[in-house]
Amino acid sequence: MKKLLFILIFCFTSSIFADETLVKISKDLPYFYTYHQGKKIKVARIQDPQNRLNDDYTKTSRECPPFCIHPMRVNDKVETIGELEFIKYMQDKDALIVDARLKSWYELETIPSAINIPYNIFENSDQKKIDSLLKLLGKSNGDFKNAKTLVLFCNGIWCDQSPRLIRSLLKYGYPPSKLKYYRNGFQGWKIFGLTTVVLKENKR
Amino acid sequence: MSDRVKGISFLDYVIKILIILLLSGLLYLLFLFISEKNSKSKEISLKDETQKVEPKVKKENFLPQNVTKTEKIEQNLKKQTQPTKQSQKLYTQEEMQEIIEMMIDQINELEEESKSDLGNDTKELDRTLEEYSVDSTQDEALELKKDLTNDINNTIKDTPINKSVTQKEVDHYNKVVINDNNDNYNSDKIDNISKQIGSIVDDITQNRSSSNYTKIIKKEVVVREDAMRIVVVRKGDTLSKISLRAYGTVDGYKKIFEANRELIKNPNHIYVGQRLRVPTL
Repeated sequence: MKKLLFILIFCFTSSIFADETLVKISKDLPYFYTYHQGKKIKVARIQDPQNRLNDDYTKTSRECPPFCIHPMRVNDKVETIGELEFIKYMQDKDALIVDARLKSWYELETIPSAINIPYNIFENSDQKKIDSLLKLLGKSNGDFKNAKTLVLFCNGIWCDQSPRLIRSLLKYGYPPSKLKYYRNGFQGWKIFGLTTVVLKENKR
Repeated sequence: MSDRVKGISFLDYVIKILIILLLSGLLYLLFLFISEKNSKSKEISLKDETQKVEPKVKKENFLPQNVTKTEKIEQNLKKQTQPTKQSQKLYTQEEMQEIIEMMIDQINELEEESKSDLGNDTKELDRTLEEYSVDSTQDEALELKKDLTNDINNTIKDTPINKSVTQKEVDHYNKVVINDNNDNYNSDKIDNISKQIGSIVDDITQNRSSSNYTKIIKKEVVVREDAMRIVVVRKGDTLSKISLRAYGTVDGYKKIFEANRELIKNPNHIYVGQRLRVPTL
């Protein structure tokens, strides 16, 4: 009897020990959960303090133009945000995390809970499709009152895809207060070793 | 008469006392018997409870086999230390580590079991391999497949079951692979929006030609796909062996070296478990 109780207590305590995160997101936030395409995903950082990135997000140099260093703000009225603000918007029901890169980028790897609106969607489509897109984002009767807050990102500081999408959204009347620009983008996300998602079926 | 009567009554008295004593003894025995029965039934009911608990724990994937092993450890501990009640409750750090290591071993075993269930993944791997190993022979393709399975297994470790206890084996990728055939699919509002937007996007990208910037971005995607291909160094590997596995020729080692300059200081020294980029030739 006592043995059994003891074993149960031991397992319980050991599971608590195992859950302790060494590398937290912030002082009060070790990790959190979100959904991507209906799948619950734990978002945490890589737990090895010795770990280094090994892919092309370690690249220092790309041809400029077009891959130039971008200014802090896209537009005077559009707020630029960092990782912690971004994470807050991930848990906000009235906000949408938007990956502004091309679909092929999005499918390779992206931030959990992000939806894909490629920057060239406005450049290449007719009025009907733009209207239906804006309707999906919450525009009703020509009014953006109930429109979602869009939190946009692309590959990072050297990437022009989300600034392009922000500019075209503003052109179509989207209120700048409802647009947020995550400038560090996907590279910033990777640098902190945060969880990413891969749409495996489309991986080539 | 009176004396006789007294005598009889005395005898009767003694007999009565004896009977009472006997009865009380019997009662006492009965009482003992019943109390034993009660305690036994309590144990049985407890056993039932543990049986109910076990299947729940099986889902968590780490208790059931551990119970026996931890019991063994306990017995060993008893032999080592004197079996006082306190020694049962206290473990030293080393003993704790021992137990945790055993648990991790078992989790790894379970992982291997779960690997066999991932038939779909290997099928998809085969598909991706067909694209990768255009020049190489089948044997080399098989070896490459092992490497790729290593990679994907690392990504699979993200599943919530394995995440909680894999303290020592840190996941260096932190990628979650999402299948469209997800069984636990709960489509929410956001998901609907993204799907509808996705269909609009598909229409546009199929119909229209793209701008200069888009063309450059598309090229950059290819670079990214290249960079995502990673080979894990195994025992006895050299750069030329990896090149042979990946490309089918030994000549590719220079390319691998250049793609991993910051990782390889001396091309003759690479380490087991090192993750190297393997760009396409």
